[in-house]
Amino acid sequence: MLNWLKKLKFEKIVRGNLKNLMQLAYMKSKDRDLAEDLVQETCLKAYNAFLQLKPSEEIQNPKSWLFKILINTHIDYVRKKRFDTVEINSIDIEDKKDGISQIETSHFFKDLNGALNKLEPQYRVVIYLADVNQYSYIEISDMLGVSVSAVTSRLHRARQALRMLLTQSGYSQEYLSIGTKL
Amino acid sequence: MKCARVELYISAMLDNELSLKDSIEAIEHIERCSACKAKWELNEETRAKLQYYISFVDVSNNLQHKINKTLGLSKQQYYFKPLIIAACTILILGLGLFVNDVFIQIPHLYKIHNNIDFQLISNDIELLSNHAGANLQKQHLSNFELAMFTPHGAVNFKRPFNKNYGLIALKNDKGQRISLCFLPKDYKSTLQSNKHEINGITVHHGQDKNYHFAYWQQNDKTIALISDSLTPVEMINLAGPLIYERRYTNENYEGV
Ligand SMILES: [Zn+2]
Repeated sequence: MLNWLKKLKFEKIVRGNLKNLMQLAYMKSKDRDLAEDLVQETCLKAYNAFLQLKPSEEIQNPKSWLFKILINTHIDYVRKKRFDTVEINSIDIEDKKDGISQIETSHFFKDLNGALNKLEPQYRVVIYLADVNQYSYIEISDMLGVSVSAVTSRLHRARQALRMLLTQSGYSQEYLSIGTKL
Repeated sequence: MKCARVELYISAMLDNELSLKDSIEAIEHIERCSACKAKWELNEETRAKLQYYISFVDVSNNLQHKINKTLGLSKQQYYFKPLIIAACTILILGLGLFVNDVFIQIPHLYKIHNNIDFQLISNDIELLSNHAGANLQKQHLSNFELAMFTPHGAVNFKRPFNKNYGLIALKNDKGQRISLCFLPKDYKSTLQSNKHEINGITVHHGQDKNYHFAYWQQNDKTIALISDSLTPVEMINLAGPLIYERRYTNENYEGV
């Protein structure tokens, strides 16, 4: 396939999944700057991999393909300890208005956000994959490179931990019912 | 079945990953056991909350820019140069290649109005406005409220070239709906329209088969109103505070 056509296809894949990538990266790191770095590097890796694809090869599920790359990129990041040395970029005014700062300041999400902050990153990620993206355990096991039974127990432990953190922070039933009305 | 086992099952059941037999046993237990029921409900509710929470995590312009730069994908290349797109289209057609929906059409106003799955249903205008990527305050909608139209829901959906399109729907108790769309600044409907000047702003308005529309440029956006039941003049009258906002930003405008 012509390279520019590949580029167009890739652009479409990335644009369609960028928000989800950002969400996964945010759930991994709970830090916007780190998440953005991670997404950027993931896109670059994905782009190179995409250009290497043979004409007969097709990405079956672009979102999980990108997720898998992000998860592996994060593993590399941790290995290289790049997360420890990332500089905090200056935040422009426009960025201050973004959704993530809303989450962090909104009264409504305080408890959930606080609990997620305390939750282990691997738990946040598995919850995000199952609860938000509704992937099957087989798909999650493929993305995380662990067995299905490991996914089952990780999710169980993750939800147990999240429940406990929420209960501790007084995340009351009343609070929850406001959420479901939205 | 013991509580410890049910707790193991609760998570898998939530994901539809538990066998039917085990699910039935777990449900029977949950119905009898208030402790397990509370856990089940909290898991379910947290899932709903989390889905809403995470929808606020979006891609900043900064990141978008960085990615475009890193990958050599220039936003402007496709955004500002329709000629290049036209040339590419002709080239692709000429080569007999079919690129599966690479080129997405600019959405038709009525499709936006009529074909929406709301991601967010609420009366809270601030929430809706944030979600739709608009900057609206309650007083901007005062005329709509007087006409018994209240905020109903919002969506924020991406269209070609990463431009954001947002929509807030207003509904009255008769089920009539007005869609308040936030479109890119350079949005132009292909529909025939008349022009009308209000406070130095040109409002385009008109009608198609079974709906009326009005749209105008304001700040860095195009605002469009679409309704099945109201005429463009009625809609423009309701939109008064939205249009005047620009004039009155430095004053204590009450939006009456
Ligand atoms: Zn029990």
